[in-house]
Amino acid sequence: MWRRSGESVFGALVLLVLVVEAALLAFLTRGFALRLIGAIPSLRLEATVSWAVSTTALLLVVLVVYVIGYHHLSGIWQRRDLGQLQAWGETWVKVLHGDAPLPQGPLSGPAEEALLALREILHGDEGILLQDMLRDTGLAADLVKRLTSRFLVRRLVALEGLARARLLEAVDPLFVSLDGKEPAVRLLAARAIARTLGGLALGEPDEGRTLRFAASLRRAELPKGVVDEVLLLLEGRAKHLIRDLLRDPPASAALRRAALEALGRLALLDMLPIAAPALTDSDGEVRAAALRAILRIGYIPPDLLPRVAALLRDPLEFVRLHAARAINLVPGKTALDALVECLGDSSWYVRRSAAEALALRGPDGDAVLEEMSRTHEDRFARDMAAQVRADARAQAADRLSGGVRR
Amino acid sequence: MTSILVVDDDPAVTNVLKLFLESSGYAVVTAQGFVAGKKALESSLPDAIVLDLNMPDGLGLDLLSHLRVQLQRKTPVLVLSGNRQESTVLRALEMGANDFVRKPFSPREVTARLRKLLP
Repeated sequence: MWRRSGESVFGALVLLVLVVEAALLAFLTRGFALRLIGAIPSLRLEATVSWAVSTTALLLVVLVVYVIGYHHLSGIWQRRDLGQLQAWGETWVKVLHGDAPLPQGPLSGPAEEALLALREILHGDEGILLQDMLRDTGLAADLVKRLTSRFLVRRLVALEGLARARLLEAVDPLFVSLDGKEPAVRLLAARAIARTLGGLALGEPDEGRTLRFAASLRRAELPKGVVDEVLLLLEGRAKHLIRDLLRDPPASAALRRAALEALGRLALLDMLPIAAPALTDSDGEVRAAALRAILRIGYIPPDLLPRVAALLRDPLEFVRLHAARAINLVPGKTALDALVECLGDSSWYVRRSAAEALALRGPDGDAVLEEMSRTHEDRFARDMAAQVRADARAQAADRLSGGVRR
Repeated sequence: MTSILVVDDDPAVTNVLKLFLESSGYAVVTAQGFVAGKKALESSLPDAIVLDLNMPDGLGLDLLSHLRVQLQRKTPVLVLSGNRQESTVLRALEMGANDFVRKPFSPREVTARLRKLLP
């Protein structure tokens, strides 16, 4: 508030100075023009110049005093706020530990901030106690009430607070915010819901809310990065949501990609069969995301192998690149043959990816690379095999010399 | 008395751990941030360290490396971090961390794990 008001006053002050200076310059110009034609005596012009210069100096002094005073006061108030925050932090920890009585609401800004900061970092028994403290002080109800404020900033601050508070009773009001008009509100609401549901103790029923969340996400049109973050925040509880986003009718391509990224990042091995249809998706980015999920998990179920192998001939270069990396997860000759075929790909990136995959297969892969560097019918494939072998040897030598130095 | 150094830039974390660990009978020294943590490591010999990985003025992993490589100390280190990347956890353990607790955390869990790490 102080910062916003202070900056507004500064803006108004600068505008006033500019207006006065413009008027002074106009007055001076007029004075010089009149003096040129002899309409006023030089003494009067000198008086006008002196008056203009002293007014300018005065205005500059006012501006400088304001800026210095503003920063000085800001510093004092910032230190006071930090001190209050620290004191409230210590008070809440004592309350949590049973060493002090619970302060009654309404709470001041630093008290709210300190309580939310503590709730953000704690779970388990202390987390449950803090939730009760949020309710008993009235802060929980107040945050929910602020979601309906007509001021956007107030609503955003409340959403941020609820994301930290992780209160189950706030999820339904948060769904209303997620269906709202402002993109920033939808984003923060999605994050708050994900943090709340992701923080639920294992065994608490959540499927209904998670499916409602999936339906809201389908409508909310959030950027893919936000959906990625939301799914990761849900952690183990992301399963229902991922399943929903990949089932028929499919969600948008961006949501399907986000679901596949989360499936891989959360290493949900048991859900890989759900990713199978994505390997033949009409959207290349989705096919690539399915391959990345497989790569992150590090395993190709046997029934998915033909689909992954088929993607080695995908029309899109980046899909073939991921397919070449994924096929390397398969042990044995099948993968070696597939990678040799990829060495002759028209794309430099796919050839490089296939050669690097072969190099990672140890002596067997190196032997194939050596043979291909001499015998492959494609000149570019031979060059790539030789180059990657040389790079692998150089890296091994570097590692060895690093080890000796250590 | 067994002493524990808590290095974290978040005063909420240092406050809560200080109170809970002190009530369990440990002497607790707190350092807010990388620079303060490094100074505390060099000037004291705690029996165990609770270390945050992401601090605005430096990485906990660098502090861990400083402890193990430069200072050549085997003090037990419990890493406390909100980082959800498995690779970061593994890296911390490879670099000599003895245990890992994720934020949000339970102070009782941290106390119990520290008790196990202490001789």
